[in-house]
Amino acid sequence: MKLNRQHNTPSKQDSGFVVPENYFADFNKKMLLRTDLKNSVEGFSKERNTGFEIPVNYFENNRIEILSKLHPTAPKVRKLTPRFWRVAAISVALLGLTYFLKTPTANIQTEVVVGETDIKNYLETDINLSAFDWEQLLSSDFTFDPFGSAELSGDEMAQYLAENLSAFDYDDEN
Amino acid sequence: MQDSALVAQLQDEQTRNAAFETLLELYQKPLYWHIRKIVISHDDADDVLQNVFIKVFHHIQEFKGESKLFSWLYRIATNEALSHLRKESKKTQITPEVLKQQRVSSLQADVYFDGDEIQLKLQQAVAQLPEKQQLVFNMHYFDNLKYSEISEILNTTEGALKASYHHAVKKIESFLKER
Repeated sequence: MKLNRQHNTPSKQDSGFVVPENYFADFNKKMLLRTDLKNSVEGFSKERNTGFEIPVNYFENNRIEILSKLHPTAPKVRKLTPRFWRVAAISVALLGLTYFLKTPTANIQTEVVVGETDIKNYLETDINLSAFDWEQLLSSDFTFDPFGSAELSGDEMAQYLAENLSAFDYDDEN
Repeated sequence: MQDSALVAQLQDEQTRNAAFETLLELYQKPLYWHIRKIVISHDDADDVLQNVFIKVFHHIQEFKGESKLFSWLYRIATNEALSHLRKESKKTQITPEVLKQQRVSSLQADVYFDGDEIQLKLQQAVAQLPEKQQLVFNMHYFDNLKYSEISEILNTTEGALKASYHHAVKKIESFLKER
């Protein structure tokens, strides 16, 4: 008696029984479904996940976020070493010295040109002088003479003395 | 890569950054799902997960190798997740247990939940359990961790864990039957 060894063709055992087309291929699927339903009726299946979901690409984005928090990309700041500061200070000192040595003092302008307006503005803040007085002060012919002589008559002199000298001064008998 | 080799690289300044990326690759997903089952919300799980890895990066020198690296990471993740729940619950003046139950109740409307009715009921059942039983159940049932591994993470004896798991399953079954 020959046995049918061609497993991928519909089986025809010696008994004469046959099975429908693709029967064995569909069998697995059916059993999985049935098992699933059975587990649903019982309560839960260990093979099922929790039902929780996550956004698309979550783990990749999360990885990038964690790494960026640990290693933030700050602008590169070059730390200046103490040696740098020493060299910089020496260079500045040398440059300054060179400048002063090369530049003759005569060329260094120390005079400040001050105009008549500047003097007037400065003096006006503190000294209250009349327009006539300003004219006198700024004129090149002006000569300062606090004791400038004035021609006084005898009557004027007597009046001055009467106003300014006390009776005490007049009284020779005291 | 062996635990000890990875730890050595993490504790060496020269190789820390590269080793840390390896660590992320290895443990990001399992830690995320562990945290997620505790805090429920994806946004919270995201925050906690980042805090965990940042903490690990800054405190890796403190790891003495007395437990497995994996256990150490899991322990940090567990503590951070539970702390987060406590902090959030204080804001609304409710207990962490009540907060979790509230979150599970609104899971159906959560954009990041695609479970069916059974999965939803299971989450509700787990949320009813005491904190320790929830952890044991989630780690053993969903994460497929051995009792020996859970023992190292939670610092509890295997016997106590088995008893805890047994009680958890009974309560879940009872909860599901009632509904």
